[in-house]
Amino acid sequence: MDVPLLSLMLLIPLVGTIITLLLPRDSPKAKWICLIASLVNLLISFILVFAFVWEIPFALVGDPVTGSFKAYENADWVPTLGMSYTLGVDGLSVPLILLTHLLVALGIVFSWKEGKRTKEFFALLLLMDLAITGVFVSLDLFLFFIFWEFVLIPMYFLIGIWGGPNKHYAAIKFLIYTHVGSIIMLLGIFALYFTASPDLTGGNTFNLIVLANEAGQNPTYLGAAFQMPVFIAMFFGFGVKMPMVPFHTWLPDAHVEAPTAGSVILAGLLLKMGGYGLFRIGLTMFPLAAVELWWVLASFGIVSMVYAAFVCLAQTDLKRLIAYSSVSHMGFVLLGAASLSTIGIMGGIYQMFTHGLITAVLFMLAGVAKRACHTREIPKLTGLINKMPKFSLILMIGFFASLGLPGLASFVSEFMVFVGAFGTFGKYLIIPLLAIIITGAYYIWTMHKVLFGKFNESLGKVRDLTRYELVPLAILIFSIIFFGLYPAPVVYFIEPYAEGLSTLLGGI
Amino acid sequence: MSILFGKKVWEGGAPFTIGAVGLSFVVSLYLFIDVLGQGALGGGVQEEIIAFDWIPGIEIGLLIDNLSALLLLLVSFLCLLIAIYSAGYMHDEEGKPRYYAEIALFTAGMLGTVSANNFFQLLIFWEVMGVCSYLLIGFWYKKPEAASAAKKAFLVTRIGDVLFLIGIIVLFVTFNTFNILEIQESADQIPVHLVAIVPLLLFGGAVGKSAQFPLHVWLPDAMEGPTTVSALIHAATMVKAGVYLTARSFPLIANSPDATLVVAIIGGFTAFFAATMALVAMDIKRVLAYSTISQIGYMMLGLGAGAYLYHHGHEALGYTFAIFHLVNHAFFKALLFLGSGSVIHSVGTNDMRQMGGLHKHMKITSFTMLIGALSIAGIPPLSGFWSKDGILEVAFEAGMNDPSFLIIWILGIITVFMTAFYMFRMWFFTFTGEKRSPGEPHKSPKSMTIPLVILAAFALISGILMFFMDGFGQLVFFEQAHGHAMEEIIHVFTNPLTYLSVGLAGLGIGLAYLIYNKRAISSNIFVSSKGTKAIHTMLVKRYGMDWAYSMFGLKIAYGFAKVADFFDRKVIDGVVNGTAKGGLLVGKASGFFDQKGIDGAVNGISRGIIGGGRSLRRSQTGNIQGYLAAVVLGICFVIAFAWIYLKITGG
Repeated sequence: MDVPLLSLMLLIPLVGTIITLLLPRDSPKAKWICLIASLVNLLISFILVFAFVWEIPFALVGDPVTGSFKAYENADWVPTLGMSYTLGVDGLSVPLILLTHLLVALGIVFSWKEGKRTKEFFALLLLMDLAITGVFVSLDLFLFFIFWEFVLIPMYFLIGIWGGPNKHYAAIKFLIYTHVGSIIMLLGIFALYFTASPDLTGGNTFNLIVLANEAGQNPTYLGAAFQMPVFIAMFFGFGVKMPMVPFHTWLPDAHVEAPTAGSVILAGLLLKMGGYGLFRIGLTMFPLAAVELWWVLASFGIVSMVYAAFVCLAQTDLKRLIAYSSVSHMGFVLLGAASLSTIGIMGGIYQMFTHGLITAVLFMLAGVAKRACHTREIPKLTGLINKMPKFSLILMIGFFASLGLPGLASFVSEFMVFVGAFGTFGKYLIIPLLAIIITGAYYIWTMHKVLFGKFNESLGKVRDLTRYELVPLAILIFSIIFFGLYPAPVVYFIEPYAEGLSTLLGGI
Repeated sequence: MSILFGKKVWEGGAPFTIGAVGLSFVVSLYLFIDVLGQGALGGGVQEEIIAFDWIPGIEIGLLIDNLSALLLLLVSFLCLLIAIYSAGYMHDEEGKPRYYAEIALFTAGMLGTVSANNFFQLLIFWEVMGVCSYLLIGFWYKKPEAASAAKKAFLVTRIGDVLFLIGIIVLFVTFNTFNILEIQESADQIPVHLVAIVPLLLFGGAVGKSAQFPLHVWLPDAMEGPTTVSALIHAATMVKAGVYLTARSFPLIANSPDATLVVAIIGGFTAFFAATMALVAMDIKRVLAYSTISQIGYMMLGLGAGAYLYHHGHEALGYTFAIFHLVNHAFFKALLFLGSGSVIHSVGTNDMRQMGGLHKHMKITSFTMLIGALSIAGIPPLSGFWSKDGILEVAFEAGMNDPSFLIIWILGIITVFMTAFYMFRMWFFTFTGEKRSPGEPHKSPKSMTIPLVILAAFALISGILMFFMDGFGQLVFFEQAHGHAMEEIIHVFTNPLTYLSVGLAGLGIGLAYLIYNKRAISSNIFVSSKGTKAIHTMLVKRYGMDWAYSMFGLKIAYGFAKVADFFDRKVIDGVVNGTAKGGLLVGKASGFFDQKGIDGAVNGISRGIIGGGRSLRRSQTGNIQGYLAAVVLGICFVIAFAWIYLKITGG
């Protein structure tokens, strides 16, 4: 019997959201329903992982076209226009799906005490889960784009309603900026749809597998004159989302204003959509353009890494600092992609996974600092280790992880990216390595300010982590250490994918 | 072994750590005997234990050979003594579980570093040590100096670590493996353009970790941590890891004469440079810190000169002597630090000007430290003599082939004199003369003095141990065992260079005696004339290097960050907001256009111009953000128009 795992994964949050919204205002059941729905989804993603590893037949319908996608589902939608409801996962999407459900579930736990319009808040978090999962499982470009745009709506409300003092500006900026990126990407999608569709029946198609197949059989199809501009349009859309310098300024504002769970999802998952799109569409559909334009990717990546790290050094708001560090760390993804090599691509994907875990920890900690001390200004936060030992320990591990300390998760991914990048760029690698030193500097400097020295008495009585804060943080820290010491489980998924992609790119 | 540790670590409390470290000592001893039993003497044992595939292509495992077996034994033994000593020294401190946990983790990091079978694993443990040193130096985190010192230590060593990281990446891309043995075997197949740079990148990591010039600045500040931590960092772990790494990359270094020269120059110069700063330090621990930097410099010099000779077909004696010096230094430096800890514990200050006359009060400490000082000064038959002399002899021999090494040798031999002088300056200052400390010094507890006595015994005999088992050269060597005990001794005592260095050391001690004990010569002679005063000031200010670094960090890096931040907020974001405003304006304009239709076009345009003029005025008088945005937007428009114009006219 075939179980449509992926459809289930989309259906559960949808039903959960609807039930939650139907509940009376301030119903205590709302958050329970959302939590259960997210946990069920987490369970399904674990089933997916194990089904993938053990090749359990019931969950994995083989894909008729390429065989590389698992849990394949296909139904007609608007056949005359070549739109279909096609879902499937491969080594690229499985880790990200797992990450999505993990972060949403932990975000719900972390926000357990949210008092303002509780019902809507949790319903929106669940809706985010639906939208992001949709992006990662869609194998039809039109469907993909719908989910891609749908992501904006709950996030817009999360920032606009539960945000800080400047929330309206931030929410509008977030919406319009990323929307502009998406529109340009949509132009690329249409170009691909009208030009590249080849298909046996003569009609145009949005089906990603069919399109990818064409690119796979003939990587130079339609020539550089077509591939380059379309790739650039797509790349712009992904680059805004990722975000890369200089299209990143929506991010710090959105983060500073967003509620903690919103920030966690924004940095942990939304940014990954950009990276995912880059691999799934950018590199896969336009191999020729990617090979020709690797230096563009690399330049944007390196500028993002170094520039954003410098900007971090000058931040005084803890959350703004973390937001900029995200920009810097997502530069690694670009650099890994630009290396066009197996290990570099692996590193880029692994970086998305580890950055999702680490940045979630950091944003949660910023949320705790705000809750406990009523400020996120680094100069005012001093000597917290005296009053908040648990917070301090987790902050240390989180910062060390983010600065790429060996033994913690992000070191593995950064190392892979550098190995891949060295093969491609040689001695120019020294420039991005500068980012590592600066990253070390701003984290150590911040840690020095925030944790050590004398406690700032004007902060009043501060309370260390509550249960609802500790549990998600502990789970994430455990994962960071685990995937730092033993990356094999994730590598299992991404290695075949990266190998396939680098073979495709190498075939030009 | 270190996994064994990991489990014990978080349970806190002295007994656990002592027990765990003791256990690892027992295991190390077993391993060492096992390695000996397999014929390590003269033959060399290399055994790899592969645990599992970490990720495909990278295997986790242990490499046990003569070198790592010896260092495992040494590290675990010293850490054990230091842990026992801590029980007395840290008795009244808060946060003991944290302290012991970090000490145990630190030890585990060092043990992991010396037993890793590949560079990747080595790097992980290497960084574990980095974090532990950060935490331990900042142990008294309420003291701002301690927290700053910790920050500095981490950041400065991080610079070295990044070089090391690049080195590993280049190695991996070149050889497609991290495995140390495989890389050593195929070292001579390294491409020509990488032959010098790869070992130097690895050496860069060692420079950071071992506090060599120019990354030495963190080590003196690291004295803000508890003295036991200093002992741990200086004697057993951390700074020795750099020497170990350099020794492990010996075949790579030996491939390139340039690399050997750089290693030797850095080593020789650091030895000299750090010794000069030790001459004027007034903090007892800082004197020892500079002496560590200086002694590590000797080891690097030995490795560099040894690699040079090896490259030219000689025996790799420098390798043996450098490791030998590492072992000897570990004993006498641990002794000196723990002794100084005992002194500080008793008088409650680090400042030598407030000590003096302590010999009466703490005889054990005084005598054991005397042994340590004699040993580091290189007085036979104490341990420091044998190895330091060997290193200098290797440098001299290399100098016969290449005059550059001769200069380094001269630096080294002057350093012998300075070492003897500053060590005895310290000893006389502390233990002889009048008592200058305010309170009554008290004796140190047994748990502190017993490790001192044990260490003193080793400092006395570890040099002579060289001749057991037919010489140290039979135990630690590169490729080919060398030297037999008797030949060695005869060689040492028939060599005129030996008498030169011993003579210089004696001279240094004598001078220190005259100035600081007999007061026959006033110490003011150093600051009497203008020239010497300038040198004195420069030394006290540590050549201004700390100042230069902090200026660089504060002014340049932070200034650049400020500029970047400004740029980000005002320019990039200004463009974004400007574009949005522009879009809004266009939207309004087109709405206006729709409403009025073509009839109102003329009116509309004129109004638009008025409106534009108004907004222009606003942007000129308004904030800089809007102004910059307008400029950038304006440029964009001009370029766009020019481009369209050219397109149209050009056909």
